[in-house]
Amino acid sequence: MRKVLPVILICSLLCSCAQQKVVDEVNMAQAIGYDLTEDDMIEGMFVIPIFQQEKMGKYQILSGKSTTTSDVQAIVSKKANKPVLLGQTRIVFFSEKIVQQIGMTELTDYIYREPQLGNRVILAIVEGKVKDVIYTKSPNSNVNIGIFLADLITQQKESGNGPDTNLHIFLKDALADGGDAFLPLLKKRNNDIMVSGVALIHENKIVSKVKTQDMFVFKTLVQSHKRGIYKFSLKDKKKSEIVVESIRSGSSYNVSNSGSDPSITIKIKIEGQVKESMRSENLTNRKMIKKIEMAMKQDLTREANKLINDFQKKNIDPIGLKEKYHAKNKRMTYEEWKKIYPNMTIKVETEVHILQTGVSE
Amino acid sequence: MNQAGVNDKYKVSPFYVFFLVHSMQTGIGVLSFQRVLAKSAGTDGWISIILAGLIVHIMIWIIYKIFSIVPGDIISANTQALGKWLGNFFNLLFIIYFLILGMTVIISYINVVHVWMFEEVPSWAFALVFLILIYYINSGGFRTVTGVTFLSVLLTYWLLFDLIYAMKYAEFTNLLPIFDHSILDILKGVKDNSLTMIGFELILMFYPFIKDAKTSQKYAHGGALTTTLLTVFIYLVSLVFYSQKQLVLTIWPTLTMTSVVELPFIQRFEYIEISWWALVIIPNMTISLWAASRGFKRLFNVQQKYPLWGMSIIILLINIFVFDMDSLYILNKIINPYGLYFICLYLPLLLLIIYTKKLRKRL
Amino acid sequence: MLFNRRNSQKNLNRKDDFNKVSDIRSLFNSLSSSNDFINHQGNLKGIGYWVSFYRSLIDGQELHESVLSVIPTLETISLEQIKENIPIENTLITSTRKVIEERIMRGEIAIRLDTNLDECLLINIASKQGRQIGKPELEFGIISPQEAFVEDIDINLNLVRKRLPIPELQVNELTVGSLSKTKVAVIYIEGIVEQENVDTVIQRINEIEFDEILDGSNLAQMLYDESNTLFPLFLHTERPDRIASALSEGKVAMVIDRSSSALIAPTILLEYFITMEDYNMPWVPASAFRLLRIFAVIFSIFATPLYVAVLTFHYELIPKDLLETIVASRNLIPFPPLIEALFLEISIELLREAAARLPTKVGQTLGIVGGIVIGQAAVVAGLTSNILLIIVALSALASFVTPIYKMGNAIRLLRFPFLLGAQIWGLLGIALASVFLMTHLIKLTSMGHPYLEPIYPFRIKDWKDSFVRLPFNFFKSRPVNLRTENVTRQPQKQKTSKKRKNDFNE
Repeated sequence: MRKVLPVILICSLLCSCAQQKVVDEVNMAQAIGYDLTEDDMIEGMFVIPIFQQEKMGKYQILSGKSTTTSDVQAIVSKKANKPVLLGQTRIVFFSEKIVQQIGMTELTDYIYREPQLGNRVILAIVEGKVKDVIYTKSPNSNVNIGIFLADLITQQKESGNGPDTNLHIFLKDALADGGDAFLPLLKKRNNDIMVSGVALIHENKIVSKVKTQDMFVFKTLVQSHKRGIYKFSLKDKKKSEIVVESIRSGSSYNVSNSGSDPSITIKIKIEGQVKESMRSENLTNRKMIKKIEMAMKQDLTREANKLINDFQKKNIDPIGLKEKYHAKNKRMTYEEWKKIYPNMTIKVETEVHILQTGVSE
Repeated sequence: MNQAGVNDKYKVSPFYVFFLVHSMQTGIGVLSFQRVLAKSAGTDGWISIILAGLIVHIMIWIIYKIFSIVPGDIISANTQALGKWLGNFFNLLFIIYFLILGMTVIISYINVVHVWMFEEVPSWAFALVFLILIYYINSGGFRTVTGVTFLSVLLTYWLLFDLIYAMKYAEFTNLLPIFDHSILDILKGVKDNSLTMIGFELILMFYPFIKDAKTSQKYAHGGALTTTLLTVFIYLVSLVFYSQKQLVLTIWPTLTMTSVVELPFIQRFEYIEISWWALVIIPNMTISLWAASRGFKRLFNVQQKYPLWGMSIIILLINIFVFDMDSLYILNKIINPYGLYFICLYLPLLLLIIYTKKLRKRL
Repeated sequence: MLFNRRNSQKNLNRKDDFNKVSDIRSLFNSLSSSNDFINHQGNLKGIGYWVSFYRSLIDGQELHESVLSVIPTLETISLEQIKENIPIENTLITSTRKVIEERIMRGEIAIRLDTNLDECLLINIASKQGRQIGKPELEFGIISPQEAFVEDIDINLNLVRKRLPIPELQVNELTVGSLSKTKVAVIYIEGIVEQENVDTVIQRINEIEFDEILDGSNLAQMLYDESNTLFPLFLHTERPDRIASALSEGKVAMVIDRSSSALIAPTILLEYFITMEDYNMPWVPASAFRLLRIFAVIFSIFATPLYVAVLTFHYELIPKDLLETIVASRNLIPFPPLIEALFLEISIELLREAAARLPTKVGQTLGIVGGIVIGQAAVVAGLTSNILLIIVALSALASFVTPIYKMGNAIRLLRFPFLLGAQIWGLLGIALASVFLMTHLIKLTSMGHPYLEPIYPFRIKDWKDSFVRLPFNFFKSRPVNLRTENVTRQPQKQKTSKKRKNDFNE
């Protein structure tokens, strides 16, 4: 018995090997797109790289139709020589139509539930058809379209005006009361795919969009950041364009506590450098810089006010004012908030510091 | 005279009590306590944790008080205080309690592994390997058990870095408002927090294995304090990382949190964390089963390996025949409220009985 | 069986004591049956004498110069007379068979006179043939002494004593092995060593019942606390300076005759990653290299299993920039990662084993040819991926950095259970295998002292010379682990020579 026991143990353990997922024997989807077909079915498209030595960037796209997002994966696996797995997914696209029709919570349920998918997956909304975007050939032939677009959005949020976004940030906002969240918008124009703004989601559906030119203000309101480009025009004697790159920017919120007349003051603080000035005046002159700062301040305040008024009108809160208000007013419920928010006084105060003006005068 | 007398050779330094208590308290609970706590106490959950920590300190004080009057372990204390029959009944209850505790930990961990990594591997296979490992550790005596515990604490603290990484997504307004919940909610939170509290009661069994056991009290308190601080820290990070509703939806917030970690050479971190967590879990299972089998040994005067075998077989059979989600549900129902009530009500009572007996003897 | 034989021998000996007279003669008769046993007969002044010895054991020149040429110059002939006049010490006149037999077997000659053939004069002229003291081969050090032990116990003891010229250095000589009669010298410094350690060593050596002890490592295995382990529990060294330093720390050393290495006990795990060079370098580089060695060992154990685990189960972990490289290199390989890894690991082990068995020159060529050609061919043929080739080659390299060869062996083999774990449950399998290893290390003891010290039991004082080597002013006490009688290493004395100060800290 003593000698047989270990043998039995080892045999039974060897039989209980976990199911293998050897890298070259699975299809690793790197991007997924969900679209709605004419007959209200979900069409899923999986961008799957084909790895070959000395040939980079080859990929195939498998697609399938079903009624749920996870079932699409099963349908697609039926068409592939290897099982389709999601562990390497970087980006998930939804078409505007599918979001309006089905709703974000339902669409992201599988994505959040599935442990294979990390929390850093980027979600993006496509204006138009996802199919058109996914089947576009990536301009950089070394990577497939999925990686290309994921890199595009990451690059935009790091050095452009795109706000930070991924599955976790989205769910954090979307699962709160009201479900006010935002996602980057992509659009295919001619043969290029570009970021075309930010989609604002409220209670599961897309309700509004932030245009590209407002994205800097939006990014500053939502998070503090270290990069971002803002273009505005300086008007005194003549009109000229100035471009400022942010170095450290962010906003802070001040909630007044009075119950009868709730108000919020938003302080936007920008520290930046002049990137370009379409005017041949000496920028080392403090006066000139003060002038630029003033002009930018006014411009920013106006833009921010416009944006926030628009949010209030539509009763959406992508900036997360509700949480800030709730932090100070414990007793607030979501119903109350819905009532006060549209009429709340929201003041914007802006502060601009130009720290540098570049290497030339 | 003292049955619990342990040869000096097998004893460990008092300073290891810190690690034994701390490791036993932070086990599987740390992965998932936030969800239930957030449900009941929300942003004020950290108050519940601190309250729970206070209770633990009181209990530890009671335990050391009991042993200062009747040195030995809980087995001898019970029989001395309650007489042979009633005492042995409670001894049996303690043994069952330790067994259930160990079983809960094993099954919980298997459940985590099932959900996150290998859904197709049968539970009994995991249980078998864990039990062999536990037997192997236990066969080295309490010194080895302590060693594994000690090293596992040392080797797992680096995992805290992923909490710091997660702070990248922190939204500190989530901590507010404070004192948003009623005292009842906060007290309910204390109960819900029990999986990260219990574990200190293992002192009841390993007390005779400590050199100069009386001096080890400060280490026991230190261990419990560290656990409380760690739990508060994890809870606060979870609060700022998740929004309330999301936290309630997430079953293992600590694990989901690690899935935002990205290192240049590792894309996803949670798989490493789950595997590494085995290192945290194994001392938990080992100490509980050690305590249960040791109690059995003291009660029935048999070699420790026989009850250990028996208990292993019970756990294995449960893993073969009951689906882990089901058994976990039942076990959590038992351990969570009743286990805690049992410990927290029984120990003060025991101290009271022992104390009055002592007084009467003197009179 | 063994026991019986011993008993019967004992009985034989006892019987011999009764009829000693015929016994010496029968001894010489039986010895003469071997062809290299010489019975030289001479005659001096009418008295015949016999000189008997093993040709193969004695030094011929010594025999002629010191014995055979001295005898004719004597005035009268008697054993005492010869003993007086021969310029060799430690001679003995005896008629005990056992002593005579043993001494002759050790290379002494026996002189008998015809007048009394039962009495012998034993003179030691054993040939001292053997290697000269050479450079250490296995534990070569660049900035440390270039002396290594040889196969002669006296030379080896000399090497140790030269380094510790103090009367407290005690040598306790024992003999083990019923056939090999190996001499084992147990060395320790009295007043420093814990007496219990010495007693345990001596007791364990005396308890050995085995016919043949050929080498130190052979003996060490019989002295281990636990024989079911991959890890060496006694440190096996060929460097006399290592022995000297171990002795001064309070350890016990064993020098074994006919073995070019000595043993140190008790030891701890981390000691096996220490080279003597660490003490000859400033503490920062010494510590850095020691950490490098420990890292190399960890890498060597875990690298291949991690590769197998990640590629078999956890493809999610691979960063997107590496994904292409890894998958593309594995594309044409028909085997699962485990088989691929085993194939390479085993072929590397083969190379190593073959290179060790072949003469140095051939071995070197084989290593290079095998390494490059076979590896490259395997990649081109699509049997392994080149990434794995790099990993396996690196981990093989890393397993050689341990200064003690036997530890390297343990590490080579440890990889395989981890590979198995990785194949069964991926990272979890590796984690569980690690816990098994950890438990094993905690359980191990060397002469009853915990092997994993100072990590567990945790002793902060002993960390000065473990993962890192701190400056020597931290070396105030001997390792706590050894429970030495004399703990202090440095007398607490105010130093008179002041270190130069500058204006800043005046």
